[in-house]
Amino acid sequence: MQDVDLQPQNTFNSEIQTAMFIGALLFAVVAAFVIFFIFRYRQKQVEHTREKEQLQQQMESEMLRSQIEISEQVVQRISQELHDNIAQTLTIAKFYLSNGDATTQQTRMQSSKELVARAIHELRDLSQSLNGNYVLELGLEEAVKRELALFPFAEKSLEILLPENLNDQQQIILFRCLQESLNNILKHANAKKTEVKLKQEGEKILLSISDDGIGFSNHTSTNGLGLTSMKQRVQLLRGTFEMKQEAGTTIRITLPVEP
Amino acid sequence: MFADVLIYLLALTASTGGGWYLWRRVSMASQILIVLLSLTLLSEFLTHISGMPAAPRMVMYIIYTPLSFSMYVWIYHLLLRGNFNQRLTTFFFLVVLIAGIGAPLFVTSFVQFPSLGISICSLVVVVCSLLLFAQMLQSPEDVALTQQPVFWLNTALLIYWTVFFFRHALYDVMVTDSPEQTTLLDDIHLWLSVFYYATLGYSIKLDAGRRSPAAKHLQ
Repeated sequence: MQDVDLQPQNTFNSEIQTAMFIGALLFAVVAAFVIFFIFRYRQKQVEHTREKEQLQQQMESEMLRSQIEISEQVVQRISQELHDNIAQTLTIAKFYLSNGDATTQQTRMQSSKELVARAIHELRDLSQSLNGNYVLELGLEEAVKRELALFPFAEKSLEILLPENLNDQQQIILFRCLQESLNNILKHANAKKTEVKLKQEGEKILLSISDDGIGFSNHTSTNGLGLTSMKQRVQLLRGTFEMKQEAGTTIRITLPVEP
Repeated sequence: MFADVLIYLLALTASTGGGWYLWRRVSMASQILIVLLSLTLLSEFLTHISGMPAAPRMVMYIIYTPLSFSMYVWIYHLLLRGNFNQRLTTFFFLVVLIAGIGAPLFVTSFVQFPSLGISICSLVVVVCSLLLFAQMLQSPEDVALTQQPVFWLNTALLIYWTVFFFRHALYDVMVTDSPEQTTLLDDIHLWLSVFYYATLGYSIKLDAGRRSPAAKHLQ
């Protein structure tokens, strides 16, 4: 009789032991999962760090390449300006000084003086326009106004409202993009009207240059050195560059404004 | 026995008090956790200290269960990213409400401990914690794992509710047939709870440290 009474209790106890064993196993599985997760996470962190370093190196190489290209373009522009304008002016001055007789000498001297003065003025302008400090010393707003005034468009409009926290690099790059765009309009667009906007929009500074010209035809490429240089400079500062061609051309450049 | 409960209540009180002290410096997920810990502290105080009778105690647990688990799901809703996870946590929010309210209403009764509701809800928390672990593996941070508050929060929730789910299932069997053997389960639950609330408090502290002005300056 006692054995019969003990059997259900023994069965129950073994069931409890089995249940406790399963419970302990479950806890062990959970603990093993957490330990596995820690190791796996560390592996992922190492991979992630490695990828980040590779991307950082790639970006630095790209930036260096862009900076070298920009420097090359600046040198080319200096060369072109010297050849097209200043060298021509001085050549004519030399011709005047080398030729002529006594009766026309005074007139030629006067003309030569004017030509040399013009060459000096053009050299000074070129030097100023290539010197970034010129923009910083004058202030971006004043530099933009003076630059726009140099271009002989029939109609010009300027809307300018600058935030106070533009850094030096941003000011110089915005000015260079404006210079390049205005030069392109003058050389290629045959435009009568030009509109420039430079103002803050939300957390970005917007530079927009629009004209009513002929746009980029088959003869001129939208991937010219000037545009490429602008895009690279803007991308260096994590900005955006857009170009639209509808009833003329509009270039929109945005740069993030630091808080 | 009372001394053991006191240790557990001290751990819970310390985490809750520390959480309120750091309230302004923690994220929204931690703030929800602090409110949850406060509700837990209140319910545990009423249960163990005030000498509330059994029937109103059960009603209090029935109210506490959907409230607390919906807050757990809310925390995971804030931590998990992606459309799928967001929709899933919204679905889980409904599940815990239905389980927490529906189980005593249609299956058990309002004077019985809401084991069924808690069991279903604890499974929901376990699933959410696994999803968060998967998300952490997909987007590892640069900070050491042991310095991430999410790691401690998630580990505590996973371990506690996995063991709790099993413990509860076993308890319901033992308390009827062999009540003297439940002491071991009570001890396990007690020390697990101490670990649980201490770890949650640590995760709140780490969260406050990451969001402090000094930490932001270092970042």
